[in-house]
Amino acid sequence: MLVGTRISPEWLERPDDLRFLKQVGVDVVDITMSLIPGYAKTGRLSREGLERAIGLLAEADLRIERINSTGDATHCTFLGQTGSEQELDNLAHNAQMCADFDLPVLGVQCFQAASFGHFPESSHSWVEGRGGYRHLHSDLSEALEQRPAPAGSPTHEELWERTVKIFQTILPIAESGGVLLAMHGNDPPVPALYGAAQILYDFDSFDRLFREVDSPNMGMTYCVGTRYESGQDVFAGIQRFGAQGRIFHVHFRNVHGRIPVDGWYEERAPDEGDLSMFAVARALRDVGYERAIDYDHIMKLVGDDAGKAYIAFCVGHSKGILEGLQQS
Amino acid sequence: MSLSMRVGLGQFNELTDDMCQFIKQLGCDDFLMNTPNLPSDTGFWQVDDLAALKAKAEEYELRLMALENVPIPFYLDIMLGRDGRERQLENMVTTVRNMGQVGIPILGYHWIPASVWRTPEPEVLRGGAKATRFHEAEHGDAPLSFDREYAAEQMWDNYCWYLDRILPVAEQAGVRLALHPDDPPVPMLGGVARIFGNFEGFRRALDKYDSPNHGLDFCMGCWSEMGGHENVMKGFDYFVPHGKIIYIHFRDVKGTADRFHECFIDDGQVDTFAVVQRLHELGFDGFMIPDHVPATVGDSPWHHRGRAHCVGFMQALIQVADKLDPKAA
Repeated sequence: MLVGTRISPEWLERPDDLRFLKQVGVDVVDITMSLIPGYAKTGRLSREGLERAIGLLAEADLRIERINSTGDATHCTFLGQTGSEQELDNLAHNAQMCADFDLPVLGVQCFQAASFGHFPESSHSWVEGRGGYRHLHSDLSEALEQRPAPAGSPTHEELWERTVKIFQTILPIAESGGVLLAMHGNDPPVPALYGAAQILYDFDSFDRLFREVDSPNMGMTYCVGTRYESGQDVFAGIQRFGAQGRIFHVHFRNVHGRIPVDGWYEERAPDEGDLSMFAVARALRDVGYERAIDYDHIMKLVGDDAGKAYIAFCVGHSKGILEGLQQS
Repeated sequence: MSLSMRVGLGQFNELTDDMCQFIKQLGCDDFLMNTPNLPSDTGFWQVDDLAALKAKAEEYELRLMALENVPIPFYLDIMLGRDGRERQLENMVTTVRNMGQVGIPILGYHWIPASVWRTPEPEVLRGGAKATRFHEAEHGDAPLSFDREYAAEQMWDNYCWYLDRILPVAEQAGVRLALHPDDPPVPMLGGVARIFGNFEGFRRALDKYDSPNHGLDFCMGCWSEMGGHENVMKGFDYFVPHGKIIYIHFRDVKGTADRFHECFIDDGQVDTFAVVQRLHELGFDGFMIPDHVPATVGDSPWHHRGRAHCVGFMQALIQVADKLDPKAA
């Protein structure tokens, strides 16, 4: 297994930041398409932009493991608005670019209800953990109350139809180009937020997606954090989807609390959540997973404005787990 | 309360609020300070100054486990057997008693009057990180560090003179003395013999001064320099069951005593997980700290990022060892 990390947009222009990642032991990176020059305006990856990004990473001896399409790239499609055709055309183009540049994993966002309308953000707060480090506390009790769907929000079945359409558009390109398509699922992993539907929040919904878009190139980013928050058994999920060969990327973060049990959850440092991250890594190894584990969300430590000390801690922790795993 | 093997931090000399928070944030409760910045013109550390450190630690619910190294001038004449050692001994007795009075349980010490040596140009590691290196051949024309040569037996005599006198004081004061290896562990540098550079040296010291208040600050980096993974395991296998490992510097190198460079903890010549598993099996219940870490780009002078990396790695190794322990399953 490799150690991966996401990078912030400005890091691509800061060679020292990329070198820092390599120094602490990061093998591969996870980027969003918005990092690629020109993408924000057109929604399309340019050949020159990608070449440049890949070149900058290569100078630090890093490579892209997963590239993520942004949520706005499918906004009209999910909402059934005009502009969908252009979005699908852009997606197909971007998938082809991934194939052309041998980018192994392409992430496409599902519909996140939080991106729709203007929900209050009161569910999120920052709380102090050990030594006062700040981490996210998410209390969903209000967001999960039964209420009518907001006007214009897509229904459950509309979302399925549109999601499948998106993947059917890019699947042939992915298959012929050897690109793996990875669905992350909803964050938070719940069927509705403030009444607006979401469809990819539990194991059964991933199974449905893989039935409807059935291909060896179709799989998931197994986000340990959201899978745990959902209340389902993280290890059962690894066995279930690992056995199907569906796990293409892993978000390796730890959590305290589960939505169905507690109504809230907290994102935690890797060593102090509810999960043994070693047990998670071992389960992944046991289903033959060999790609990247990415500690995912970054928190800040005292005097650590850039989050680098936290990154170093997480990378060190991941490497320690992999070291032990080799001998277990 | 009984504690188990755990990770701490150390090797800074100023105890700030930020440092206390940083230690806690990395999930540690233990720390040591190396040559703390305390008033030292008297030649010893005073109760009030030591008590202030202890109080600061307690404010943050941290354990101040050790002070590693008094300033070398506190005991240079003792190490070299020169005039003035009687006075320095009196001061060291005062320091040890004051530490005991305040409740700081460990005094780390070394027997290296000529200090740690490294070769100027750093080694370049992955991503351009930099680490110290030592190449003995490049120091062939180094001048004497002091007025003359000090042979091994003289250094032993001086050592025994000191331990004969200080160890009973430490026992009475409830302070444990933890001996750090010579770094680099070569036979002589600057004309001063380095007597703690191999297994036999430590065994000789600990056999002669066999007391619950005497043991090792086991610097894994130095033990790796002396003979790689096997030497590290040999040291732990012998000294842990004898209760002689007081705490551990968890670092590593590539190379041998006469030619090595430091490295990232995940990239050295010691099988670090095998070490932690063995320590777990042997029942080591002390703390271990990152020691020197490579310089990563943009890091602070104390290497907050490099140390955070090492702490994460060490904590993961301990967690895995705990998880794999058949007794715990």
